[in-house]
Amino acid sequence: MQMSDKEIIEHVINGEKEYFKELMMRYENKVYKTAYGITMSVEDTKDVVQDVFLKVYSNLASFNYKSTFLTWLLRITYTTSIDIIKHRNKNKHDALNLNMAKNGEEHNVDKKIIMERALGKLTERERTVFLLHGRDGYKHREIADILGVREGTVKALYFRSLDKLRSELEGKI
Amino acid sequence: MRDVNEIKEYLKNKTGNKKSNNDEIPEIDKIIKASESVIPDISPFEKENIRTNIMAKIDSIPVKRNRISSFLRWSIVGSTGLILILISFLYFSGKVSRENTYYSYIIDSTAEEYFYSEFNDSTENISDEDLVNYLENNPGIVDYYKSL
Repeated sequence: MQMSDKEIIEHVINGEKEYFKELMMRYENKVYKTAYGITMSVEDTKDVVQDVFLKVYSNLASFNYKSTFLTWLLRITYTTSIDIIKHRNKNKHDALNLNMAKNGEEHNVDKKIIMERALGKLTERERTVFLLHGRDGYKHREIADILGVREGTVKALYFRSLDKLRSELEGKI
Repeated sequence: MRDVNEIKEYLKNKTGNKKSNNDEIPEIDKIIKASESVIPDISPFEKENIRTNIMAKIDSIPVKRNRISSFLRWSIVGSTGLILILISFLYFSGKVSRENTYYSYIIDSTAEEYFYSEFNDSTENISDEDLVNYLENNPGIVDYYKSL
């Protein structure tokens, strides 16, 4: 029988570190997807994932179960990703965009590249909300908890992001 | 993807926007479908490496033990409260004591002034002994001034 998050967390807090690996394997894909959706960079995503799980480990004892573990984890992922974007080296950012532009030459691009370019036109918050709701199926309420905003704000961000994407992607997909 | 109908409804109701045409609405499904491809290209091998790195770093972080127990937490809160009450008590009782000393001083000074005016004399010419004698011979004088 699979252990609950709470049981795993208790083991880790009591010094059985090997259980933390179980926790990571359970949630890492969600963290990867979320971090990538925000940073739009594989290298930044790897950094974010490491930072996030180290922060989670350091603060696990203070997790108070007021939200689900996943919500708490994604909140840390969101703030860490935003921090990484803020401190991202400008040259690296330019190189990333250039690379995407080259890959995006007419007719020979796949949907992923087109979609990522369109998502790149959104703000971090719009992108996060769109991907968490549209792609991953999180509820507006859950996303509001992750971003620390009101539910109405999440809905507004979602519809705005959708409008922008429709303009960007018109006839391309 | 669960809210596609909600979005369609929103766009149908949205007036003055040419993109709200029913013909274009299926685009939303396409956009959401396309968003599923937005995942990082990181191999399972790389993920395992990252996991190993994290576990190695965790080994160098001291283990944080269980959270402080409820009993201990309330004990700390209780004893802190008691200490604060005790400090407040000592402060206010000291304040009353200081005020009493001050009022006694005022009363004594008043008696002394009365004594000087009684003898119509200056401070220099009255010895302490005269003052003591006067007060001993007029035992009600201090109480009298206290009652004023």
